[in-house]
Amino acid sequence: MTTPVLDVRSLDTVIHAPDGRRLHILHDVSLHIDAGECLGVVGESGSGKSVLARTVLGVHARTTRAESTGQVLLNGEDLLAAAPARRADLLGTGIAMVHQDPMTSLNPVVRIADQVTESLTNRRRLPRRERLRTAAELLAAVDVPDPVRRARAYPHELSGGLRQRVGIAAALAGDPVLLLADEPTTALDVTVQRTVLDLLDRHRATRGLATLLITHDIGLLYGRARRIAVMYGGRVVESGPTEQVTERPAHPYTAALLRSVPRVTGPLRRVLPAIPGSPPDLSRPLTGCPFAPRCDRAEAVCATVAPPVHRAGPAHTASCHFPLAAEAPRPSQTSLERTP
Amino acid sequence: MTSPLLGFAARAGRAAAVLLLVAVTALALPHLMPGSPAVAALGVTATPEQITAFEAGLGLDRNVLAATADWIGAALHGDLGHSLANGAAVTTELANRIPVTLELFVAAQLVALAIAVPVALVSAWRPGGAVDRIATAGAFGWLAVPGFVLGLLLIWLTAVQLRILPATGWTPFTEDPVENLRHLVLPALTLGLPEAAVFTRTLRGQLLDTLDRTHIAAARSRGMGTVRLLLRRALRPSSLPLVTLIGIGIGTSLGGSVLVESLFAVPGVGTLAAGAINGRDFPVIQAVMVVCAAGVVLATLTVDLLYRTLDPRIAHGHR
Ligand SMILES: Nc1ncnc2c1ncn2[C@@H]1O[C@H](COP(=O)(O)OP(=O)(O)OP(=O)(O)O)[C@@H](O)[C@H]1O
Ligand code: SF4
Ligand SMILES: [Mg+2]
Repeated sequence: MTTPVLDVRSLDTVIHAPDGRRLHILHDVSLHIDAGECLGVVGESGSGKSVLARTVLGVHARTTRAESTGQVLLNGEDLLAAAPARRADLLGTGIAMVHQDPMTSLNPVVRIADQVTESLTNRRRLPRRERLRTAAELLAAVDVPDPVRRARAYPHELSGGLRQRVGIAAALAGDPVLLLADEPTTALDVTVQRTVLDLLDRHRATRGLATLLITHDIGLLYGRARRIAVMYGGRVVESGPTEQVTERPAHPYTAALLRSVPRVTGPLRRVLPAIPGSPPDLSRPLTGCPFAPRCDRAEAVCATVAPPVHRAGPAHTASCHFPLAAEAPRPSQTSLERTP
Repeated sequence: MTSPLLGFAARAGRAAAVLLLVAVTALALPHLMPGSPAVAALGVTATPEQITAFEAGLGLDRNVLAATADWIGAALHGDLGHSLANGAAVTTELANRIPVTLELFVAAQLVALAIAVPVALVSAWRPGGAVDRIATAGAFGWLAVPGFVLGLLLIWLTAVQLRILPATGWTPFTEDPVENLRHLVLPALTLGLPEAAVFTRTLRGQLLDTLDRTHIAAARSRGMGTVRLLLRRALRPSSLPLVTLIGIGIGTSLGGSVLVESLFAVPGVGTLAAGAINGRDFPVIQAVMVVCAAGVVLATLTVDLLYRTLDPRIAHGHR
């Protein structure tokens, strides 16, 4: 068995917010990604997807302090136990991040070339000519037309789609082994979404990049992610191969997510799934199943006893007292379009 | 989006209009002020002939607009008239004093920036941290102290107690650079320290805003160290309000200079203006008014240009 590129084991993360609150965000999160594999992480807003990505990267919001227990193994090396200097060393070169909003994730007063090459220039000096040349190569690799001219441009001179390509180029510059893409296309319109996702796919395949693709939109993962981890309330509530999770969901939350998948053909393309109720308040301790208040299968035990791990298939698990049986009525599969 | 050339022409036109307005007001001053400037200048024993001649010299016997036109015509040939107090050419007087005030202004800005930039950077990086708390308390403390009290305190401490710096007076740079700097320190500190407080608050606020942007998180995710991040990525997009402040400062600094220059007996434009106003030395007052207005106009244009170099979006008309 080969070592996965990323292997997260029983990760718990507590965030100390600037206002003094102590928020236990991640609970016993375990997942792994092999080289060249894409793992989709899906969940509602506030489910802890970004905190997971930031914990793996090791960079949290400037004014918050985070404490993690468990293991985050990168090619077998435990990052949670690594020295700060070692972690800093991996930023951009071992692990790279693609941010959500390309309009705000580029510095408006810094030339594209200087931002795209940051993972390199943060380590060693690159002469200006070298910077421009490298940047143009990187931009060409993400299909930015006229890369030499674009390297000298400022972000506002580029469209949203091009900016997200620039964001991807910047992430690839340090030749990382793991790419964390935190909702890389949420801010883009549908047609641009597809090309950006295709681009990520291509680089994943050709570079053997382990990719963590975070999204609200489970439909976006069809044909792109080999496996899916569904997060709820800071926990991975279900995980398994994409077909199994989407066609035979075992966890009631996954089933609800799938029922609310936006249709590309509908008049209003909803990105946020509409499940009645709201996610748990992470500032308060919780016993039992986090989904209990919103679950239509919940019984008394759900509120008091933490759900056990149910094996729905060889590599398919769900944390639930009353998982959906494989032969149970499936979510309206016919409505599932491959999006975008 | 207007063409840069058109924009420049519009700004130049506005600048000229402002200067003209100031010139007219300056020339109208003797008419507007109570009492006769001739009597004030020549004394109560002046004969009517003397007074008439004097008023003709000031252009008081003519329409203000005509007088302004003449004044501008002469000014364009480098003639701003002669001081009523000592008969010296106003241009010579200004040529001696403008460099002194400019030097003081620049030194004060450097003092303010040298304090404000590092303090604001550290405060904003760790809001609520030790540096931030001390700087905040200190800034409000400074701002509560009037400038002349600060000046007197500095004189008392360095000149009277420690005897390391001259309390007053001035030596031109061309005469003795070291003495010039020694005389510069106290007035520059008196002008610069309160400004440092304002600069720090302004820059800190803007930095806090910038540092919360996603692009800063993105740069950190690529391994950018704190110092580089602050200096190369956060400072520039945060510096626009500071540039504005300094630009405005050029306009308002004359008020401050009058006080500080008087306090330290610095022979700059401020003391010149103060003396001229006391003695109703109209040619000098008029020239100082127009020169100051020109300074403000020039500062505004410079701020505009700086904005463009600091933020490419402005240069491209995106904001
Ligand atoms: N720096 C922080 N300070 C305080 N609370 C935080 C911080 N970061 C995250 N949280 C909280 O942690 C929870 C999970 O946040 P996270 O950003 O990971 O959610 P998400 O799944 O990425 O949601 P979204 O889809 O909206 O991006 C939320 O309740 C959020 O309020
Ligand atoms: S454990 Fe109970 S409440 Fe939680 S998802 Fe399963 S059935 Fe619903
Ligand atoms: Mg998020």
